[in-house]
Amino acid sequence: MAKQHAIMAVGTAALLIGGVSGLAAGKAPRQFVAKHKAVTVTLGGWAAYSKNNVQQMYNFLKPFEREFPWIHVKYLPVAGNYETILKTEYVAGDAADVVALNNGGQASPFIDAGDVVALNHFLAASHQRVNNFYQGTTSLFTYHNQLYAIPRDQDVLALFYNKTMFAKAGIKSPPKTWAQLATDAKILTDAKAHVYGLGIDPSEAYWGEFVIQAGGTIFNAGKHQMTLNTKAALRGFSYYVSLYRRGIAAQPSQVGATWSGQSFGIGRVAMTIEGGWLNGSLKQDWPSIKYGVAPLPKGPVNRATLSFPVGWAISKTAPNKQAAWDLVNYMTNQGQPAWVAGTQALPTRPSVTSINYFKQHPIWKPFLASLPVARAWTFPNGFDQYASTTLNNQTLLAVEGQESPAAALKHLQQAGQQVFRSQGQ
Amino acid sequence: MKMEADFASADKGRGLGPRPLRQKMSRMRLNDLFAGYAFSLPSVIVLFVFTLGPALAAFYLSFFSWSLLNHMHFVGLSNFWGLLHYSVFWIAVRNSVIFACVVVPVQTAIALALAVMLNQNLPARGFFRLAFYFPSISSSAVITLIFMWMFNQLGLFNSFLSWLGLPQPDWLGSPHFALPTIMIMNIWTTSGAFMIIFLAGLQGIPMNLIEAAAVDGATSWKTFRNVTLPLLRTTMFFVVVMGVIGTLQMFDQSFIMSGGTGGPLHSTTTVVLLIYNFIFNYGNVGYGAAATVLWFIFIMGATLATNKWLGQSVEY
Repeated sequence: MAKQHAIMAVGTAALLIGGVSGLAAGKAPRQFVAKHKAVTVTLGGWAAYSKNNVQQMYNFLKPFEREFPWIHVKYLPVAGNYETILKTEYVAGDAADVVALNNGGQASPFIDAGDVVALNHFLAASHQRVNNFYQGTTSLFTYHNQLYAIPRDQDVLALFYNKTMFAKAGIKSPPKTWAQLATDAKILTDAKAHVYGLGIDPSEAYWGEFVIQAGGTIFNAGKHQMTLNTKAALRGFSYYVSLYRRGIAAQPSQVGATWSGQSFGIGRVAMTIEGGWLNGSLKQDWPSIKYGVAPLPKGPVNRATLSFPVGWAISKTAPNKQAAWDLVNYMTNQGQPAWVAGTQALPTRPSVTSINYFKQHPIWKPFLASLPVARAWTFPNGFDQYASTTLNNQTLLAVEGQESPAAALKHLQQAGQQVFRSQGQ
Repeated sequence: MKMEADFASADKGRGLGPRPLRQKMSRMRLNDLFAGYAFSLPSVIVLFVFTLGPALAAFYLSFFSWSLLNHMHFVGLSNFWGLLHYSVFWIAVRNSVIFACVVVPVQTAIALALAVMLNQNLPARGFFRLAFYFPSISSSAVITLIFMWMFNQLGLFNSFLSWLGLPQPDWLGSPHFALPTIMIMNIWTTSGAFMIIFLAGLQGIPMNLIEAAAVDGATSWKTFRNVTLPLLRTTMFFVVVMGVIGTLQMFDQSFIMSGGTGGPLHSTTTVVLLIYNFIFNYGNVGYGAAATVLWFIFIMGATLATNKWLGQSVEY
């Protein structure tokens, strides 16, 4: 402990001296934080806190510390409700220098509050461009044309299908269009035996892609208008709802599961729409399932899927932002192949899709093929309650037939616009 | 008890005895006082820092608009005004009150019945006491997970219902059954704990009163109704008050069962879960604090009402 404090003190001193002399000389402080002065950068992020996880991170960081011997990284993972804890850390002023920002509207509150800094000039100084990354990942962290986190990895939705059930039903290949999806799901359904063709969660993270496939969007490009009042949005949402209403798709609770991956794992549904995370769960919890994965069926207008990217951001309070940037840049650039192979996630740079790991593990092929058409699942700031409650409630009402798809979308459109109005937009 | 008696006699002795004795007494009294405060200081500090401090902070925060991440600003009573016009708050209040109204009487009755049964000279009495008490010392998170497994659509409980030829509802997924499922679970978990308290109460009843009733020819039901039950009044008061407070503050089971959302369709949203979500998920600390204040007042009212009803002890 004492040693780390000493290093931190030295680091802070180095920054102060570097900053002052840097100003005096009119140069970037980097040259003056002499490469030989030790600094410590703290690294946050979500991880189930186990010795193994921590060790895995340090192993991953070893090449970084060889390349940047003056930067010592201290890993402080947060287990449990990550964003809740991160908020309290920012209130207390002790958040890590480098923090992970999540998809699903979990990044915008921190960006909006100014807790993390814009990274464009760092990116430019490292001779990199935003379009070195998939647009579907950077869009999540872009506000007012500034990028606030560098996407480190992502996961996308794909169609998982049970090969045994497909063979038994005489279906040769996974469905490629909406019409085929519905036909196959019908053949595979045996409601009396509580077996369904398709298992999907009744939530927006699982129907957003249908709206996009039908040519619609949830928000406009600048994310300051709801766009669920379009014909295309209604077409996509109605198709999704019709799968349940026709009895060929099941909510997880209908088959005694808590999520659709579990419905699939216990063999109650022949197909499910889930992310690559399901590969790991199937391997660990339901290893006997024989399954294949295909890109999502094409909609009437687009091929599309939803992406769930995670990015590394730098806290406003980080004492040495250059060192923090060196770490972020390493982890999302040279370090990305090792990172995605080690954590079994998908890359955010098109250039990383051709690494050996993916050649050796063909299960990732359909996911990689979906990356160019993936759109980030996200919400603007202020939509926490909307995302966690309003969306789920309206989805459930529509799926259970207590409300028409049009009425549900109308509610969602109005409630979302209400949030924007309350923010004065 | 002895300390109190000593203090009392010291108080009475003030001004009466000869001077030197009085001085000695007061020095002793000071020492006692000092020791008393010194010993209780750690708990007092813990109480102030971790209980009263945050409670006072909730009162303070209820007058501010704050998202945890932005700068807070004073908004007067508008959080309370907004909260009272927010439909989900009233849904949460209704859920919490229904929950308490069902769970408290049922769990109290079951706990009392179990305690009376296990107060008899039954074989394997120790085993049953342990078995009934066991759920309340297990982690409520684990019990919730086990219940979710038992009560899912194709789970153990529904298999049992289907064997009986009864309809099998979707206990966890249907808005009509999610809260009752939590009620069943809560009754099952807490009855054992209150059973132990009733047992202690039952053992504090002097045997001679029971025997006297028997000599007078009272049936066992009459003895129970007219002797045992009135003498359990203080125990009953404790059990009901703790039950009311505990059920009105129910959070963990709803949180785990609904994944934190209070769904399906707000059916498991309790006031405390809503407070948690206001503060940590919806970025609306002021509403959460205002709901905390209102709920504090409500629970205090409920406790005072119980006190008025059951608070006085009975003497024979």
